[in-house]
Amino acid sequence: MVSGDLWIVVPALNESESIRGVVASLRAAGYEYVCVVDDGSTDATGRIAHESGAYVLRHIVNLGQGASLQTGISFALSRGAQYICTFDADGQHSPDAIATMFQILALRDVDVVLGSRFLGRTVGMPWGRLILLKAALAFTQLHSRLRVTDAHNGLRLLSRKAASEITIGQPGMAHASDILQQVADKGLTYAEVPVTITYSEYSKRKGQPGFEAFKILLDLLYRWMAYRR
Amino acid sequence: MTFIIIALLLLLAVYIGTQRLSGLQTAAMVCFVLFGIVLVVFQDLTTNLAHALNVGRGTDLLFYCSLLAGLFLASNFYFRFKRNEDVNVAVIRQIAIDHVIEPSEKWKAE
Repeated sequence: MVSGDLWIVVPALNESESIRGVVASLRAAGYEYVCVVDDGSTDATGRIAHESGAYVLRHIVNLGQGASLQTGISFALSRGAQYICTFDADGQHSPDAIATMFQILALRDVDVVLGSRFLGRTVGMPWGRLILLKAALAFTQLHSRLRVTDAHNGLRLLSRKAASEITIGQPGMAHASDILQQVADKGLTYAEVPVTITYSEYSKRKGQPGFEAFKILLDLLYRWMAYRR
Repeated sequence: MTFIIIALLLLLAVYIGTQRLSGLQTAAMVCFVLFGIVLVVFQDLTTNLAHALNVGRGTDLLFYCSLLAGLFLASNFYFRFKRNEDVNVAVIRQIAIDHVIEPSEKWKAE
């Protein structure tokens, strides 16, 4: 892999506590192209990300994580990225996983590599989160008919082909199911890689509340109806 | 009372005429107004219709129709809201990409 080929897209909303560490760890791991999408933060997320060596794209108002990912992906593609990795801003992911994912992508010649905490392990995951994730997984498996083991993991590696073909139409948190649905619809090949997700007190505080599940379901229903129109 | 309700429905028709609606929406609203006038003039019609549909009273039939109309309007507004959201997202995304903040030379040199 040539250094300029891989772009890391980090969507961030009010992550001033963690973004410096996340960008620094990615830079220290040798990833030169780290793109933080500041999704209308009201704190210093964008400034800190820039100081830490990231490209910063700023949404002037908050749009949601899905919209941030698509902004980062569109930007990376415009800069000639051959591979795009999506990475969470709250410090749950380890940069070490990216190299493994890249190896799998090259070895198996797939379009998308998905991180799976249920093939790997989790540290400190609350029970409520586990139930929510399993429910989301069941819905996604039913809806997309993909036999994935983790539907809402923010750690993904996309080839240029996959990143170009997938258009994230869900601005909010329903984007994870949306991406998988498009992987299925467009016949993209994929593989899963075990990853470790570490839930710190900070990341748990930043996580999605339970009622978001209902909103996600409504958004997916809308998108499903809109596509069928 | 009959005349007041008919007058209100006609006022609604005039108001609809001033709005920028699609052909289908205008046709739906005109049907709504005409249907309302017919129901006001022929008051037994709803009861007969309700009996024919096995609903019970004419009032119940109107109530169910109102519920359906409310649901239709709510879903229509929801779809419109989502379409506007898609436009907003596209515009804000383009602004973000056009104004990207590049890392300083110190970082690029590393």
